[in-house]
Formats: sequence, structure tokens, C-alpha cells
Amino acid sequence: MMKQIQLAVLLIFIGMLVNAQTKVSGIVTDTKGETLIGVNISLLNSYDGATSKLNGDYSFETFEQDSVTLKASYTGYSTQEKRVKLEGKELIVNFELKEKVSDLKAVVISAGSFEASDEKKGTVLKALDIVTTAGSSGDTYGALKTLPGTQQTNDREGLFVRGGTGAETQTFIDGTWVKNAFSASIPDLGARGRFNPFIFKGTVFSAGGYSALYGQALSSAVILETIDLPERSSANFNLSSVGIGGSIQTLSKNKKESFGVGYNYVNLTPYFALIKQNIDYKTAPTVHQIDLNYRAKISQSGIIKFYGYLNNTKINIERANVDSRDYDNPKFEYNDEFSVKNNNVYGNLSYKDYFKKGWKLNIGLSASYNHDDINTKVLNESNQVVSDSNFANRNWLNIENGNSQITTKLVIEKSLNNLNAIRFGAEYIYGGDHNFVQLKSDSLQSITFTDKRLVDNFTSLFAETDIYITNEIAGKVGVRGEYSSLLNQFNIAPRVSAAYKLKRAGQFSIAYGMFYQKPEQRYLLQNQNLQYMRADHYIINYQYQPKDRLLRLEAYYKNYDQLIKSNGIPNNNGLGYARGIELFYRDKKSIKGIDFWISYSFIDSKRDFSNYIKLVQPDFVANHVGSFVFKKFWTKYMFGINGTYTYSSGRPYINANKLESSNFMSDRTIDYHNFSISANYLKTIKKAFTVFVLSINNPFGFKQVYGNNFASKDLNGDGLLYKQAITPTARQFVFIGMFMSWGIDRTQEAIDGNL
Amino acid sequence: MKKLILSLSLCLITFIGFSQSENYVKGMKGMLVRLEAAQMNPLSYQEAANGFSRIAAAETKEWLPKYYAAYSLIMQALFTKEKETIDPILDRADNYLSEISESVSNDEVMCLQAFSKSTRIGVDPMNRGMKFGGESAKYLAQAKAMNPNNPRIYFLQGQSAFYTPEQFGGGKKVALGLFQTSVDKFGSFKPKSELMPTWGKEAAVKMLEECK
Repeated sequence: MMKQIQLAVLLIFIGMLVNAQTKVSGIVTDTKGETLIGVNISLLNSYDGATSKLNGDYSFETFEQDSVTLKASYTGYSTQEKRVKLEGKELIVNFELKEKVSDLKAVVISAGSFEASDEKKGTVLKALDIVTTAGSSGDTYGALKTLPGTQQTNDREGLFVRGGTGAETQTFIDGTWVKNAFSASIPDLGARGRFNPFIFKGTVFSAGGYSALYGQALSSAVILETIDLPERSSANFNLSSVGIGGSIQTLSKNKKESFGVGYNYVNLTPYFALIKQNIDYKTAPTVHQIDLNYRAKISQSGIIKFYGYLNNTKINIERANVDSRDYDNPKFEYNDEFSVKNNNVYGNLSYKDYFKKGWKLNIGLSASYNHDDINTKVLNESNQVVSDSNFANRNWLNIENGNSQITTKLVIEKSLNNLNAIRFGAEYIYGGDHNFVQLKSDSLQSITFTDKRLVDNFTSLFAETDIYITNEIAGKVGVRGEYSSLLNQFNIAPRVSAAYKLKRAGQFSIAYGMFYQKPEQRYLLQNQNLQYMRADHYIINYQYQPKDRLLRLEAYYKNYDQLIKSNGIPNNNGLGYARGIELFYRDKKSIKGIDFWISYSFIDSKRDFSNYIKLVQPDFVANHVGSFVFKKFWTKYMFGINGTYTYSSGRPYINANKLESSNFMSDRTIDYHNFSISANYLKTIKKAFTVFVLSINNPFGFKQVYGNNFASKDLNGDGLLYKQAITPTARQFVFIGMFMSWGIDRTQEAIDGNL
Repeated sequence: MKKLILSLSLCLITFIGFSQSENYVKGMKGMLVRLEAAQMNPLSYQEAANGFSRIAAAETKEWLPKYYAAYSLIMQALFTKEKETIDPILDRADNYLSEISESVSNDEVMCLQAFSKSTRIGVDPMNRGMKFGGESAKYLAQAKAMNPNNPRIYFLQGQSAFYTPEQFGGGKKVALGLFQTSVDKFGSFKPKSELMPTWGKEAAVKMLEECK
């Protein structure tokens, strides 16, 4: 017995000693046969293993025996396990690993859209590019006008994209639609975006072919995402040639909640007193604005955000009445007074959270109210409303426009493996419009012309899926269905896009989409028996993005149908098309320390809509538009210069003296040139991080003409109606400002934005 | 007879038990030697990371294999030239660090967290400096609160000061002081066990010279 045990023990020990090493080796490749370097080959439950070398081979020796599991793992590739039997003989085990579709390597569909974000890869702009682009005047839309596809329509409200009107571009904040994205404006003078670009961390500008998540924008979508919790509490103060303002932002101790409030007062009276304008401001633009925000992390992954905005704007101008020109003694007898008082309230509440098994929820609720009180008067020299019969029914008109919206949107997303995802949801918008026009021929009696209300209950459902076949091929298929109670109509809009990544840094993408939009309120007020307007977009895009450089080429064709014609009662008989080629090139590398971009757009577009009498190039479309933007910062001196040059060929305009069909809109304005330059200097003054800004728009005084207005009557009998050019109110605009922040050091941010 | 079997089996059990922990120390020591010998190229650090990760997979209760796997990955990231591949490497490092449960979280782990964050700045210094610089500093402050005598804290602080322009409170002068503190602390630093981290001394000395 004893001996047997001794023998057994001995055998065990001998077995352990004799137990020879087994050599395991092999080659690791990917599915295309390319060798992989650095793959971790491990023998499960032991320390043994190796790393694949430069030609993909590995080898190691082990004392383990019998059936074991050999595992090959490598970042970006699916792990592979193989059961093998170790018997002391040399073993060859080869692995062929499959590449995983990953966020970092997968192609991004870029057709139609430009993105500004600090977080995502492959974006064209950074968040701060929006505010540091010279000439943007701190306006998001101003900066977007340096990108291809946009027109330099600085005399009108809205962003005009690829043959579309300003009303065909819609803005979305945290997923929900914003009805009144532009501030109150005066005819022929343009309008700024309402929202401060600093509240957004991401901006997507889509010039077409965008996702089924968004609707009611025939030509373009501007998708904005507000910032999350700030990194610390701060206070800000600003003083400039246009106004004064301040804000505080607090962050709770546990860093889970933040609250902010800001007030800004804008008044251009002192500026206009110093620098003469070619129209008379009775009330220079005066704005009171309050911004509020509350953000809270309510769980590990959930965040609630509220943004509130209140704005009161007043403007009152007087300019020559073109119908009152005295030809014997060239001057204008009467003036037109135009005044607007605007009140706007906007609130946006959103909730975003991630759940188990790849579910994601996004809920948005926004409400807005907008009211314009507009008075147009024809005044004589002593500032009284004229009683001239030539101006009967328009010597004093009072127009009140009000609208209110409630928008709710729900988006549910389910992530599947390999980045594939399904997204679906619903949107409901309540929209109420009120339009009230009265003639106040004398102050005692007034005649009401119109008093109309519109209510629309608008519902949409949408679904979309992201399909990633490999890291090189991806697609997106979506569909959107909408119903408007006002139009009593359904529509179904499919959207498809795909991208293919080439070797190195190039890729192709394509997009197709059908887009519907309700006619504008001004038409619906006259006729509610209208249909949706429709556009079809076809886009092909090539993008090449080596490090610090980016080249984009895009070609598109758009077909417009059922546009509104307003000769007489508005109807859907309008149509049109737009096609073009666009180029964008950004370079941060070639010239040391200088970041610049060039964009160029060529467009061929015709429309028969609005009050047009035939299919013709619209008055907001210039065939050639280009921008050159540069940024340079000297860290040593904490000083930077940004510049923007913009060119646009002449735009057609309706010449009231050439209304016959053959000559209709055949005239062009002069070419448009603009140069803007801004200089900024950073300094810390008693713990306050301060930025001084000086910017000059059009320092060289290029003459800029956006179009022409015509008199409605031939007063001097020469057979021609008097023509007056639409121009900016002054050749130059100068801005001097000082921005101070306490608590947060924006130095790096400011420099980054300038670089 | 039975006693003999019992004692023999006990012997064997303790032998196996002992041999396992001995194996661990031996395995770790072997890997540490290889880490030390790692050349200044990404592949050799990747090899080290792979080795530590194999030990980490077998010894799930030990925190040091994860720590060194993370450290090797950070070093790999540091020497990687293709900037787009740096983040995934550091994601893996962060994964190991987050796997080290909070109960064993210590100043060394905090230092590595900080090191990982500051390494991310290299991908896009202009846009990342503020965010990751701040996060890194936060971890170093936590490490300092846990053990102010850890020389790696001052080495990493010195590194970030060295690469921060003077205008933003960095520069060689500031870095010099920090590297000096680090070198001083290294002089009196004794690792608690032979497997505990010792890295950083040579680099601190070298950087100190560069600042002078």
C-alpha cells in the first residue's frame, strides 16, 4: 500500500517534471488576408500567450496540457476562440479575425450636411467657429452663410439655401421645431437669428437630404443642440457699441444641477447718432432679452434641460416714399414710416436618457408665442399722416400678427449590434395664427380689413434605420408621414442615404429624399384650400479628409412642385428646380498658424411661383457665390485676427418697367462683394477673463445692392417708374465690445476658436 | 496510513496554493521586467499590455495586473503616431482602471487616471486641452489627498505644466519646481511591495534637466 502511494506520488511529480512544454504558433490575419500586428493570443485560465509580431506571426510555449481554449483578441475586431488539444507536439493555430463596425472607423453619411461639434468625429467646424467667423456678428446663420449652398440674402429674413426661400429653411432646437427663429425685422433690412450661439454645443446645417426625424422644411434644416451642464459656476458681463448685458450661471455642489439667467439690452441709438445711416431711425433697434436655463442630471445617464427666452424688440424707421417723388424739384414729398413692436417668448424642455439593452429615449416639449404690432404710415413733412387720395387705403395700416405653438416630440432608439439602430417616434404640433389688419385713415375711425385665425393640429410619425454593412458601407432608410388638420391632408415622405468609404481618407455619399411643407401663413390666411408644397432632393457628395484638411465636392438636383403662386388667389400651381455644384475646402495645416476655408457654390435654378409670371431665376438666387474665411491667432500676444470675404454674382430683380414676359426678371443687380475683419485681444483683468473685440464690416466700402424697389405710378410721365436701390443702411458697420467672465477661464476656448 | 494520505494531500494542496501565488508573483515579475525593457515603440508596450491583460484575466481579484495593463496601454498610446487610434487604446486603459473596484482605489490608480486623461490631449491639443487638462488635474488632486508623498503626482503635474503655455499658468519655470519635488520624493520613495509601481523616476530626472 505504502509503496503504491509512494509510486503514485512519485509518478505525479515525475509527470509534472516530464510534462514537456508545447509550442504553439500561427499567423493572425483579417478576413481580407492582411496580417494583423499586436493581436493578443492567450491561453484561457493561464498566463501563457503572445502578441502577434510585424508579419502577423506569434508563438509561445506552455506547460498546459489537454484541451484548452486559445483566444485571439484585438481592438476593433471580433474576438475568436479555438479549442485545441495540447499534446507536447508543436501546434500551429492560425486566426482570421473579422473587423467590427465601430463608431470610430465607420463611414459617416455626409451628403447634404455640415456639422459643427467638438464631440463628434469628422465634423467640418467646431462649435466656436460659429462665433469666431468674421462677419457673422455672433449670429449662427451669419456663420452658416460662409458655407456652400447659401445665398448672401442680407436684405431678407431667413437662410436661403439651394434655390429655396428663407421660409423653406427651418430651425430645430434639441429636436423640436422653432417657429420664430429670427428676430423682428424691417422689410429690406434682413434679420438676425434670435438665439445666442454660445448656448449650443452642436450645429448641423443640412442643405438637403436630411433625416426623416425632421419635416416641414422644403429646402434646409438647421439642427441645434444646447449645451449640457457647465463645468463650473461663472458670471459674465458685456459692454459694446450696441448694448450692455450680463449673466450668471451656477453649478450645484454635487455638479448635477445648474441654473442660469442672463439679461441683455441692445440699443443702437448712440451708434446711429455717431455713424450716419441712410434711413432715419425714429427708434433705433431696442431690445430687452432675458435667457434662462436649468439643467439637471437625473440619473447616471439621464439629463433634463430647460431653456427659456423672452424678448421685446422695438424699431421705428422712416424712409422716402418712392411714390411721392417730386420731379420738378427732385425730392420726396412723403416718407414711409414703418414701426414694429415684437414680443417673443420661447421655452424648450427636453429629456434624454439611455436604458438597458440599447434603448434610448428623447422627449422634447417646446412652446412659443410671438406677437408683432406693425404700423405703416405715409407721413408728410410735418410728420402727419397724409390724406392724399393717391395713398387711400394705405396711409396708415396697423397689422397685428400673433402666433403660438406647442410642439411635442418623442424619439425612441434601439441600438442593435455593429452600430445598426432603429429610431422611431411621433411629433405633435399645435399651431395657432392670428392676423388682424386695420386701416386707421384717421385716428378716430378705423376700418378693419381682416381678422383671421388659423388653427392647425399637425401630427407626424417617423421611423428610420441605420444600416452598417461594414466599416466602409453604411446606409440610412427612413420614412415620415404627416397629417395637417388645417389642410386636411396626409403626406408620406421617404428618405434614403448611403455612404461608401474609399481607401485612405476619401468617401462618397448619396442621398435622396422627398420633402413636404405647409404653405406659409400669409397664403393660408387667404386660402385654406391649399396643398403641401413638395421638393425632391438628389445629392451626391465626395469628401476627402486627411488630417487638418478637408475637401468636399457636392452636386445636387432638386425638383420643386406645388409651390404657391400668388397672382390672384393663392394656389399650388407653382413649380421649379435647382441644380448645382459646390465646393468646400478647409485647411489648418498648409500655412502655419492660419486656419482658412473656401467655399464656392454654382447654382442654376428657376421657379414659377409667388407673383412670377413665368419660370425664371428667382430674385434670391445668385449663380455664383463664394466665401473665403481665415483665422489667425498669436498666442504670444494673445491677439487674433479673423477675416471673411464674400462674393456673390448679381441677383435678378423684378423690373417694374419690364414686366412683359420676354423681359421679365432679366435684369441683374451689380455683383456683391463684402469683406469683414475682426480683431480680438485677450487679457485677464483682476480675475476677469476679458476679450476685447473690434470688428468692421465692409471697411473698403464696396457698394452693395440687393435689389430695387419701384414706384407704383409714373409721376413725371416719361413712361418709366422710378427705381430705388435696396442697400444696407450704411456702407460700414463697426462693432467694439468687451466681454468679461469670472469663474471660468475662456482663454483656451477663445484661442481654439481662432485657430 | 490515512494520516499519511491526509498530510500528503494537505501538502499537495498547500503546494498548489503556494505555487499559484508564487506563479502570480513570478508571472508579474517576468512581465515587469519586459515592461521595463519595452522599447520606445507602441508594439513593445502593446506586448506588455497583452501580457498583463492575460494575467488580469486569470487573476480577476488582483488589481495590479489591471493597473499595469492600463499603464502599458497609456504608454502605447503615448508612442502611437496615428492619432485616430489613440482614443480606442486609452478607452481600454480606462476600462481596466474602472474595473479596479473602488475599495482598492488608491493614489496610484488616481495617477494613472490622470495620466490617461492628459494623454488624450495629444490627439487634438487645441480643442482638448481645457477639458482633459482639467479632468487630469482633478484626479491628481485626489491622488494628492490620498498620499501627498507619491512622486508620480508631481511628475505628472510637471508634465502638464511643461506642455502648457506660460500665458495659461504653465511653462518651464512652473514645471521645474514640480519636477524637482518629484525627484526629491522619488529619493525617499519606497514601494510597499516588489510589485508596486516604481515608474517615472528616470523621466522626472530627464525632464528636470530639460527645464534647467
